[in-house]
Amino acid sequence: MTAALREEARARARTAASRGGGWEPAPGPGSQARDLAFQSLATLALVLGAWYLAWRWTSSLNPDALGFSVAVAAAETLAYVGSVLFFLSIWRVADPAPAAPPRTVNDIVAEPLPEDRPIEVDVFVTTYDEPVELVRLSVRDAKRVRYPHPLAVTIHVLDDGRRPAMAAMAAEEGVRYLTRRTNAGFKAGNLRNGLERSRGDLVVVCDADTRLLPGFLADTLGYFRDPSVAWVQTPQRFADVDPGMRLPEWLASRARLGRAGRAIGRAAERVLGPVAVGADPLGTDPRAFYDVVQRSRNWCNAAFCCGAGSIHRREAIMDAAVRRFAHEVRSRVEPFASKVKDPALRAELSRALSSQAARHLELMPYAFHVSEDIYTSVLLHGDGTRRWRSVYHPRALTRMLSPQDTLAWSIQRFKYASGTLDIALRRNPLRLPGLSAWQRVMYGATMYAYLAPLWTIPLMLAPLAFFFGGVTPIRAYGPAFWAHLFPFVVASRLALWAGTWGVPMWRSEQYHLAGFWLNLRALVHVLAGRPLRFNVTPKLRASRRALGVAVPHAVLLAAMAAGVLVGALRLGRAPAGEVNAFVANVFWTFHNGSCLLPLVLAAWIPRRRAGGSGA
Amino acid sequence: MLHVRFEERRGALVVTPLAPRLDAAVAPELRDAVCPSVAGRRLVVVSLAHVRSADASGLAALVAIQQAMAPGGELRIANAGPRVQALLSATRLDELFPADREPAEGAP
Repeated sequence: MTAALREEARARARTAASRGGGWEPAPGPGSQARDLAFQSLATLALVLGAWYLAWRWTSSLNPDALGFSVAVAAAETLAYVGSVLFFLSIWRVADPAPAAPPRTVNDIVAEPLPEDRPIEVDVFVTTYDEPVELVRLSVRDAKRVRYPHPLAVTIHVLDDGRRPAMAAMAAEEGVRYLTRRTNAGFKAGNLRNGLERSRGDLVVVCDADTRLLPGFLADTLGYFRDPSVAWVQTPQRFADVDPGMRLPEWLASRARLGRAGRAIGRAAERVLGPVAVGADPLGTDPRAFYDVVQRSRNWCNAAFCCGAGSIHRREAIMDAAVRRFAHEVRSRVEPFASKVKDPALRAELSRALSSQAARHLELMPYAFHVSEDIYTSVLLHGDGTRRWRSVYHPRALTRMLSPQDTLAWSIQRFKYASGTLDIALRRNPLRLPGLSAWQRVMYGATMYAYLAPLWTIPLMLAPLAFFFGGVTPIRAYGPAFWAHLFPFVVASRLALWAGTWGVPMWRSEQYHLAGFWLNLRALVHVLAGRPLRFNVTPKLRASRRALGVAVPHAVLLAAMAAGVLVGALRLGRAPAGEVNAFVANVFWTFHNGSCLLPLVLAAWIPRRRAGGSGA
Repeated sequence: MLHVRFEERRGALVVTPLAPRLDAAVAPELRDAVCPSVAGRRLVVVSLAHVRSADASGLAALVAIQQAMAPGGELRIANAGPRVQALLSATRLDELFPADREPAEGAP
């Protein structure tokens, strides 16, 4: 790593720190009125969608291109199932009731200890190759965390890089430094090492760049008064995402509309909620995920842990680990032991085999898996005996750095996608007996979303087939088509608008489509049984542009542009009915293109220097 | 500071942690104190005569001890009180760690 890059990391971290904690408004409170409005609109949209699909399958398939027609209708159906799952997964919002910070450990355990004492908290800062100075900032912020009662906080730097400079930094800051001989298990193994060599009642998991705000513990520990609360997840906020320019300002200055522009912008914002122009070019802002998806999972106890910015009860982590270990031992022994008829002999054999099997298995407090966080979550939720609960705290209590360019972004997304697909396809956690129906819906929706290329790709290619080949998936784009499609589209937009009120969603919608190539690669990767990669997401901007990431998108965009042109030229000598078809396909092509474009631009334009005009 | 008593008994090593709770607070020390001594052992008996309760971290330390033994080595539990016994059977670790039926030499 060059000195310049290191300097840049430092500068970015400074910028992020100077912005302080209050830069991000908390999401508005949930309300029954909002829930009801969303639920009515979502129900309406889903009924209209079913009506549209019924018409598609029974009355609109094109006999002249039946295979193509069926493929597109199937893709539309898969997309519809995705909408159903998504709407269900944001069905209602219920934030947890706040509770006063506990005084002592006996406030947070089911069985009081004979000798009460202050709560002990371990803060783990995991690092592998991040710069020492970046980790130092995280350590310093952890030291600044305040609590109204006596508390024993131990900060541990878990360094998988085994760097003397990192050890020296830890010594200077007066925090504990832990390392190990191998990197087995990557982050999960690193955390396991930390857990084995510490003893706190609660454990805070931080990435190298996770900056705790001073109120982190005071705001989260209250939830642990319920002894069944296993972990509390807080929203992640990137301190360095370009916030863009608010619509009234943008209309007034950039669009040179002056006062009139500002007035129009204000009026529009009153209807639409806050609009930021040019914000978050990389689509890394996680608000859509946290403020909508995670927050909606809280009421049915399905908020999952996201690897950083979370605080865990040690007993829950270890309980899940021990149970899982015993379960795996048993599942290795049973096939052999069950063949023995004599009970005494069988017990003898299983004991001998268990000892053998236990030697070859690892007790992993964090699942040995790329998506270690979601997998650990689903295992704890699915543990029917202890009934562990999770809490999603709706306000940000940490800040961190976002992936810095398209390459870093794509590595991170690939990691999530392949990890989640691997869980879905190989260890389907929906079968865990302890999960409730709603928890199954929530986890099912998460896993299903990663299958998106199965429908987004056919739906993006279908208009091209029309422009270049003249084939249509629909018999006639007549009034019946519009009458069935239009109400569904409008109702869906309205439902989404109500369900995600106040949270910018457009970027995440764009990236849902633009992620087609990455998700397709992840799907192929997992289906082919190739090993999962454990790459650490780079926190530093790569020195070169990551054009490769956007090549499929650029090709597709070019094809779309050419297609619209070819289609327009053919229009002159086409029958009148084809105008409708052309309009419909141009409409979808523009929608698709506007989703792909930001990724191409983000890959093409090198990022601004640290602390640039976006800050 | 955790104290652990080690005794030899007919080829088995009897390990007796002198702590009322086998929990996260003592698990790292237990691991560090016992694991080096059980290397190559085929039979280790952990006497819980002094232990009144345990938690999952304590059980994880027992797993670590078993894994430090010779391949195929057996770890038995002696003198487990009702609460520890309940935890062992709830996590089903009792199938991995059989109860030791010998006279309770590790008892106080």
